This record gives sequence, C-alpha cells and structure tokens, in this order.
Amino acid sequence: MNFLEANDDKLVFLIEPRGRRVLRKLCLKYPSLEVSYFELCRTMDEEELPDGREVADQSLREEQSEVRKRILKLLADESRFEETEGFLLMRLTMEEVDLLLQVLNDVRIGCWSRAGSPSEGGEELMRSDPKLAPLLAAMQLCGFFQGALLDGLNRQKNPPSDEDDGFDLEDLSI
Amino acid sequence: MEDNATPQVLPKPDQDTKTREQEELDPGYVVICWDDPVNLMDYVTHVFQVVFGWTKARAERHMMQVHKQGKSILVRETMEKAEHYVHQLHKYSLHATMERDGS
Repeated sequence: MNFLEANDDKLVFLIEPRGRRVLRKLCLKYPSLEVSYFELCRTMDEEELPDGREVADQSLREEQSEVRKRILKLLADESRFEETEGFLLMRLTMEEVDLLLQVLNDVRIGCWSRAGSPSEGGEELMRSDPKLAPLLAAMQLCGFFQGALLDGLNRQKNPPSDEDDGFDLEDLSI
Repeated sequence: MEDNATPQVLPKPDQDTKTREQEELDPGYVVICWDDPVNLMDYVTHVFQVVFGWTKARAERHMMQVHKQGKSILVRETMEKAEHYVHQLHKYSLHATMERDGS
C-alpha cells in the first residue's frame, strides 16, 4: 500500500486487492491487547489513585468495540474502493486514518506482547522460532501499513510546494 | 437571589473528602510516556500531536526524549486531566502513566 494523493479532504491510498484482504485480517485481531496491559501509574499507592478505574476500563472496552465495528465496516464498504489497473484506490478521511493507525498499532503491540515483549534486536530470535514467526510477520505487516498511513498524514499536513521538489542542483558538489 | 432566603448551614466536609478535592485540583501530577522497543517513532509523534494538539516539532522533541532518555514528561496537570491524558495515550497503545510531580 502506498499513499497516492490528498483529494477533497480524503487521503487516497493505492492498495492491491490482496493487500486489502491482509489489512482486514489484521484488523480482525483487534483489540489484541488486554485492558489490564496498561498501568495507570508506577509510583502512587492504591489509595492515591483516581477512583473509577473499572469504569474507565469498561469505557475503553466499549470504545474499542465501536472502533472495531467501524473499521471492519469501512474495509467492507465497496464505495471506498475504486478499481484501477489491477489495483484499488482506497479513500479515507483523516479521522479514519487515525482510527486505522490505532487498530494496527494495537495488533502490532499485541503480537509483540504475546511473543514475550522481546527487546530491540529480538527479531532474529522470533524469525527462527516457528511459534513466534507468525507473530513477527503480523507485526511487520502492521508496520508496513502504518508506515503508508503515516506517510499520507505527513504529506497531507506538509504538502511539498511546486517549487520544492526536494532536489537542489546546488547541493551537488560538481 | 431571594430576599428572604433562610441561611442554611452546610455540613462540614470531612477531612478525607476535603483532601481528595484539593488533590484533584492540584496541578501536581505529571503524565509520563515511557520508552518501549516496539512503537514506531513517527507513530508516537502523530499520537502526541493528536492527543495534545502540539506542533510536529514539539511532538518530535518529546518523542526523541522518550527514545533517548527512556521517558518524557509530557504535561503537568490536575489529577483528573492527567488521568484523562493517560487514558487517551493508552487508547493508542502507548506506555504512559501519571505520577505525582516530584515522586
């Protein structure tokens, strides 16, 4: 998947039909992280903590459930996808891109957590373990889609000007 | 205001309630984002921009601080607001906590 252009307040991404199926499969894993994964504080005593932790957790679960429904509906919505020369043009609002990023990140961190939260450089270890390799693959796929979505957001917020094509002959010492 | 309002004696709040209310209004809480080896740097920058409404430059400064120093203090707030921000950051799967300022 690649960012193509910003059009009428929507970001347009070029994605293969197979990529669309993979994206949907990854989103089906959401929510991947248990609410208990998150700690509210590290140093405060129990009695110092704000009240209503259970209510907040329940609220997060409900919100995740809504996000899941919305994203899966979006990915199944044919009007969002336009066929062009074997590829699909996928149109998303900025808010939808943000939601999709949340979903993919949750899945990515969930895989990492299930793999035992390896430290940096743990990819080799995961790759060589048949039980962990699928988790690594899912993490890498999520990262790939996240990269394209973030690229779209960055280029929407900071569009390159016509005069600045990022290439300056003055930079060449010839 | 009514002319003939009868003065009423409100019950005195007990000490615990009073202390709790003061704490909730005290901007003595910090929201900290902790480093982890898995979140993408651009993603963290994006989340800081969305949650706090920061410019990209400010969000990147904090992201780099998390990356290089292991943590960054993002805001100092009241208990209620700090809790709100931590929940927002958790929604994006970032490792964030609220702590008493100076602890």
